[in-house]
Amino acid sequence: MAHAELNLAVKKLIIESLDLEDISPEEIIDDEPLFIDGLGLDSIDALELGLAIKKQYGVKIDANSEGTKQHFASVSSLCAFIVNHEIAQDCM
Amino acid sequence: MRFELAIDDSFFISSTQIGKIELKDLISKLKPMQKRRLSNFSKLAIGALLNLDEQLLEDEDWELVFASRHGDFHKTSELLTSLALKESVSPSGFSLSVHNAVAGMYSIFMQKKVPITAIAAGKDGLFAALTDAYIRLESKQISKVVVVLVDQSLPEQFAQYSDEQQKDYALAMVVSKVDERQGSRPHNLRFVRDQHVPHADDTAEPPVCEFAKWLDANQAQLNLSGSKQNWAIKRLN
Repeated sequence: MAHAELNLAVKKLIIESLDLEDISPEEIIDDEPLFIDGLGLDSIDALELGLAIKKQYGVKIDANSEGTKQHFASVSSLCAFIVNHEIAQDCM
Repeated sequence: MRFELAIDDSFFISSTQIGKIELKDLISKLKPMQKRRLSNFSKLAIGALLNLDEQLLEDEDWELVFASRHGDFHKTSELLTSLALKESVSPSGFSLSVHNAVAGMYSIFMQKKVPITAIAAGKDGLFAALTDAYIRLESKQISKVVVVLVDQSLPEQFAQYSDEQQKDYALAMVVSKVDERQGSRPHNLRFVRDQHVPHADDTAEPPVCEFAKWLDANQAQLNLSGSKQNWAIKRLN
């Protein structure tokens, strides 16, 4: 999937899974924090989004790893995480 | 058993008005991030509560009684469906699936830490909620109790278990002790329970809806039946 396409898909997934009906994909800034600052999501959103990403992209997310925090920092880091996972899958 | 209560203010919404009154207009006071996780059930309950006269509660010590027969059963049945299909359960759905979730959210939105009772008493929810409100008023140093009663039509797959008219509704009330010196209040009511066992009637209107309509009508007395309790309600003024 092309970078921009995945980017938009992830934003749509965020909006849909977290009931952010009032927000459009363009309003979510690629590199801005998703949690607390920026979009202002909370810990329940993190769980909900983790589940949505697992369902959509088959990416298993470890709730307790330090890496997970970094992956969920922004849309850009989430996309990178999904892409890396897909590459790892292809190599297996 | 008998007791008296004053109803200082009430707000009722039911299926017949939904459409004419938009649920989203009822909760327009809330911030966008507060609104987004609210199901229709939560919007009904919180919408009714937000439309009570705020001034009645200003500088008052008040407590909250929440009563619902089925709770947010549409949400619960979605969770049950996910479990039955062996899918992962939605974390935000789960976080709001406990019976007192809506009451808790209201307390957070109002930034008021108040004692809350959450009641599920079948068709007798109205009587249980008002009895609880009366006990709170008589046994504590509080001047008001906010009561909210809310339910929805059963989800389609549970419709076969229906044993009363299926409706979406919410009734919110501010109640206090009857005090003759305080002049005329909207409603001073006497509740008297009789010992008869009610007849089962699968097509009866939910007691909360009958009571809410009676409040705005002119009849002096209302006889109401739940599944275990019969009550006569009379106007004192």
